Amino acid sequence: MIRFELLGRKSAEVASFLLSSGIILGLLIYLGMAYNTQESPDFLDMKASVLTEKIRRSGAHYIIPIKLENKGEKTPVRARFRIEVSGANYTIDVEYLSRKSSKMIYWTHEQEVRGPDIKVTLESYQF
Amino acid sequence: MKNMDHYGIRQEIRDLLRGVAGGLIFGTPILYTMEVWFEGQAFPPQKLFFILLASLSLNIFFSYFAGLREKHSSGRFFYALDDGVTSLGLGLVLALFILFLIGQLDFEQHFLGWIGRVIAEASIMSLGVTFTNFKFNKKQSSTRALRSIRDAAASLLSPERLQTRQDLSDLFAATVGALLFSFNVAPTEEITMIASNLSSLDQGLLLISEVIFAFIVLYASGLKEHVTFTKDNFFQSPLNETVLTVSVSLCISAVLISTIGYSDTSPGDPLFLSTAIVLGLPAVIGGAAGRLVV
Repeated sequence: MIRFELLGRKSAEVASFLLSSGIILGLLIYLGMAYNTQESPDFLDMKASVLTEKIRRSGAHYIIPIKLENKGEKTPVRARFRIEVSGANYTIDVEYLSRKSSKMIYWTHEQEVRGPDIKVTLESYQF
Repeated sequence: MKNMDHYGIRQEIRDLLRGVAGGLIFGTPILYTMEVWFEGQAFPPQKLFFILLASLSLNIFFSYFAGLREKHSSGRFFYALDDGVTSLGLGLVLALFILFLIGQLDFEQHFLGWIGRVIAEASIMSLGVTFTNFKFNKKQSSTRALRSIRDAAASLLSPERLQTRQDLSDLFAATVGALLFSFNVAPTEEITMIASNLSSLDQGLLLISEVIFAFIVLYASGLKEHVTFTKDNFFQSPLNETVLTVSVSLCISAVLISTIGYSDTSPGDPLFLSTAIVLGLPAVIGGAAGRLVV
C-alpha cells in the first residue's frame, strides 16, 4: 500500500486495486480447486423421471411433467431423450443442461397417461 | 474542492463510473448473446482458468497504451498493472450485475455454471473498460464543446435559437445511437427469451437500472462537456436529459419490437412491454453514447 502511494496512488485507488485483485485471485483459486476435484468422466450422469402424480388434463390434452437431472460434472451441449408413451416413440433434444442442475420439461399427449405407460430414457449426448 | 479529496475517493468513483460507461458501451451487445451464456456455462474449470488469466494479461497489455483512469499515463508498467487489474475486476462485477438483472444467473444451478457465464461475459466487457481513455478522450470532448461555443458565438443567432438547435441535435443523436445499438439485437431470440422469464419486479428493476446507466454515461462519468446557451434550460438539466434519453430509447425499442422483433407481439400484449424494456437496455446505452458524440 505504501509502495503504491509512493508511485502516486491514493488510498481509494489502492483499495479498488486490492479488491479487484482479491476477486480475480479468489476466482483463480476456486477454478484451480474445481479442476483438481472434478472426476471428469466421459459419460453423462443424467437422469429423467416422470412426475406421474403431477400429470394434469388441459383441454383435450394431458400435460406430463418430466424432470431432467444432470448429476455429473460436465455440461452437455446437447442431450437427446427418447419418450415412449402408449406404444409410440418420440425424441426431444435438450441443450446445455448445466452440471449438477435440473430442468423441468412438459410433454403434452392426447390420451390419458398413467405412470407405467410412459418411459423417458437418455438416448445420446454431445459434449 | 480538489484538495479536500485526500484519499482520492471522489476521483476514483468518477474513474470507475467512466469504466462502467466504457464497459457498457462496448459489452452490452455481447451480454445479449445466448451462445456466450451457454458456452461459458459449459466450459470446464481449466478452460475458465485460462480465459481469466488470458483476460488479465490482455487487460494489462492494453492498459499499457490506453487505460481506465483519467490521469493514466501510457507506457508505464505500474499504471498498466493497476488499471488492467481494476478493469477486469470491474468487468466481472458489471457482468455479474447485468446477467442477474436479465435473469441469466440461475442460482439453483451449480456455482461453476454461472461463474462460467460471468467470466465469459466479463472477458469481453473488461476490454471495454480498459479502452475507456481511447474512446472518451476528455481533451477531445472539451475541444468539441469549446468549438461549438465558438461556432455559436460566430453564428449571430440568439441564445434561445442556439439552445433549440443544441437540444434538437442531442435528440437526434440519442435516436440514432439507440437505433444503432438495438437494431441488430431486436430480431434475436434472446430478447423474447429474457423477457418471457422476467417477473414484473424484475422488469421494474431493469428499467430503473436503465435510467441509472443513462445517468452514469451522460453525467456521472464526466465523459461529456455539456454545452448550454441559456440559463435554466429544461432539456439540459441532468435529470431531464437522462429521462429524455431513456424515453426516446424506449420508444425506439418499442418500434423495433413491433416491426422486426422475434416474437409476434403487439402493444397491449404483456410480452410487448417486457420485450421493449429488455431491448431498452442496449437502446438506452446507445442513446446515451450517441449524445456523447455530439
